[in-house]
Amino acid sequence: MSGLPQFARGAGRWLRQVAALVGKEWRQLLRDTALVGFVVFIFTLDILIAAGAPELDLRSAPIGLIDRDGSVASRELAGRLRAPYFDVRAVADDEAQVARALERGQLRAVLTVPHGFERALVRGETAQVQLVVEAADSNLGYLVASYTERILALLASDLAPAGAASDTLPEVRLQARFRFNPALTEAWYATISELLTMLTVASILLPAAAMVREKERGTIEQLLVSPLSPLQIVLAKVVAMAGVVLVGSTVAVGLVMHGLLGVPFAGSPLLFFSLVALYAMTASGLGVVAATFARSSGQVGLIVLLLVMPIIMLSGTWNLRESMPDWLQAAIYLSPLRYMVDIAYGVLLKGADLATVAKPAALMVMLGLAFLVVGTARFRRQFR
Amino acid sequence: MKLARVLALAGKEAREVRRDRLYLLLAFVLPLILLVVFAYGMTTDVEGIGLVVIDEDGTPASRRYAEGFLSTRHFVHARADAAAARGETALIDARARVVLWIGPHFERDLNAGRPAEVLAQIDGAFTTSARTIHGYLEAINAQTNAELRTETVAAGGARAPSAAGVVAPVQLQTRFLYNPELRSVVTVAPSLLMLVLLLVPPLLIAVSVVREKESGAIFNIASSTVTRLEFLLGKLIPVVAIGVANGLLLWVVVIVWFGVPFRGSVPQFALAIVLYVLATSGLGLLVSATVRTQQAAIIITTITAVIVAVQFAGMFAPLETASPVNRALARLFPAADFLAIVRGMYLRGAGIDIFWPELLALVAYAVLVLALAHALFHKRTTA
Repeated sequence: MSGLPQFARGAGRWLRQVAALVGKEWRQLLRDTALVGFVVFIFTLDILIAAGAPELDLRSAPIGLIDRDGSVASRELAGRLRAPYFDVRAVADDEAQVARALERGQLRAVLTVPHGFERALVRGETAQVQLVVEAADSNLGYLVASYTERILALLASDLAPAGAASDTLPEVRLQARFRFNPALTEAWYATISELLTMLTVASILLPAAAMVREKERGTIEQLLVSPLSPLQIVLAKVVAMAGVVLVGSTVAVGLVMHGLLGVPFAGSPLLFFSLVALYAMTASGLGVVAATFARSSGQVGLIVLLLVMPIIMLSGTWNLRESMPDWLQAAIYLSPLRYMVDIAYGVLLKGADLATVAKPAALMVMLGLAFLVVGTARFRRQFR
Repeated sequence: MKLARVLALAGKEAREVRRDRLYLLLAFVLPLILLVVFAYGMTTDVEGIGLVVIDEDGTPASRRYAEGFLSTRHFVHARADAAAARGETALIDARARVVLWIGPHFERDLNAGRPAEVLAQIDGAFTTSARTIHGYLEAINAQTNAELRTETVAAGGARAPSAAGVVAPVQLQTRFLYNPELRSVVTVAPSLLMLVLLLVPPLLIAVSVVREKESGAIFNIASSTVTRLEFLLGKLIPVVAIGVANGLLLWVVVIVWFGVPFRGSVPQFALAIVLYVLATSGLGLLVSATVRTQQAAIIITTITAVIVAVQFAGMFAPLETASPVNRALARLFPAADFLAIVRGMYLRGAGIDIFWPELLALVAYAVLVLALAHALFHKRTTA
């Protein structure tokens, strides 16, 4: 007889064994009601919560105004520092009192309009205005200054003397358009970020914790004396948890995000969910590697925190990847989420096709294979 | 409740921690690593952002305009052929975040005194960075305009009554208090105390309680005279001690390593750390009372901490901009109160006279959560 049918029979049995193990993982997970409830929560309600996330913008930021000019122009300025960004209020012209209000956080900034402000504007001279910003939060501090600057520039050009020379001076008008999310709807960004975060935590933690549990209880010895190879055991954990995560993200994206919240789905669903499955397997592989370093659940919890937190915080969902120091940018190439961020935003919001995301997808798969090889090798070494 | 029994239990916990070398190492090294990596990485500084220029004018004026952006540390030239840039693939595959289009009549318009139009396409998928990047683009554009005007006026091209007034009709002198250079690390590093102390103590305590449930060691407690309160306090004391030690260590590292000044009162801030660690540990105890497996304990405490840090703390964005439901949910967790205290005490040097409501909230939170955990905890598990 030829070897081919025999090989096929062997492969079939190999796969059936993996499938049986996957079924065992699922049954085990389903019996842990608290855990099942929580997994359901992170892919449904939690995504809804993320849609109401705060956004980095000013909302009625309290601004104090010291008006030493008391002119029409300065009152016009006060009128323009308005909702939704600012909430302007007159404050006493007293340095100590102003400093105190800034320290207490009652005011975000204080704007001082000096005497002669209007006269300077009308005559076409430079009008000086002072702004003191409480910048304990550097982002908000920057926004306060840049919005005030914009409002002042507009006021100046509106109040400039008619037919002024400035009309013939060179000017570049910069128009900005926001692509892929023209109105900067926060919910689109926040729900995708949250989904990626939850996907990552669940994909790494579920198999890692399941693996260490077998070690702690000693049930892993039973698996090892069974006719199963380490690769089968590792693969079953990876596939089982990736399956759970895939179902979860289908519900999250299809029902909650696209269905309920109207987040666009510009690209191909088949492409997106295939890549989610690959991502979940890659991240699960990392979870398995982490589990081989731990002997107890306490240890694995801490090891996973050490891996998961930098991955979810520094891969580009919550930070500006480009602005990190070079050594961190280099290190983050080892984070599977780094690739998935480009893929997820690319396919969901930007309508990226396979050709566009091929490079990050390929790198992600290579990383996943590396995790699988290292995980299996370390697993084998621990028990042989 | 007998103090001797509580101390005996706490001593047993402490011994267990001490004997698990890896665990002990992680419990102290992990917070430090997270602090350092996050302080460097969770930056919101706008630096090295990829910018593609499509210069259809190709004149000295247009090249100079583009150079105005690329010569700053904020933007770097992203390589993309014209076709790719126009088809926006550079934005789609995330090679660049901005495509700057300069039209064919740029120089002619400038010389003729007509406004020259320039279009910046910004990747809006990341809303937060899109807003900041927009701000920087506008600031650089305004600066270029001021330079152009100064040159034209100096060359006698305008009959202005006052050259300065034409170049810059309003001058805004801005002074940034507490963080004069607007370095994001000054904002981020102190906030990490909130994050790290939200992650580590709940995980430590939840695992240590649930381990006894899962291994069955809890039956020893169930059959003994030890009360639930004594058992929980025995668990709580070592973890709170580790958490507070971590907090003090991070406090010093933020000052010494990251150079963020601490202007507040030392005993007041120490008190805030103790209260916050009690509150977050209580959260861990609450989780441990409701789950049976360590797997569930790890996952639920970790994910809860991540959700609270990202959504309910006001770390990335001010909570005032959140939806009313989210603001109400944020009240259920201690992170926002502690973050307000951290930022206020570190940089602004504010004290208990300002932050007594937040400190009281932490006290109330710690008491409530610990009481609830006590009520829900059973020595006899159904597992």
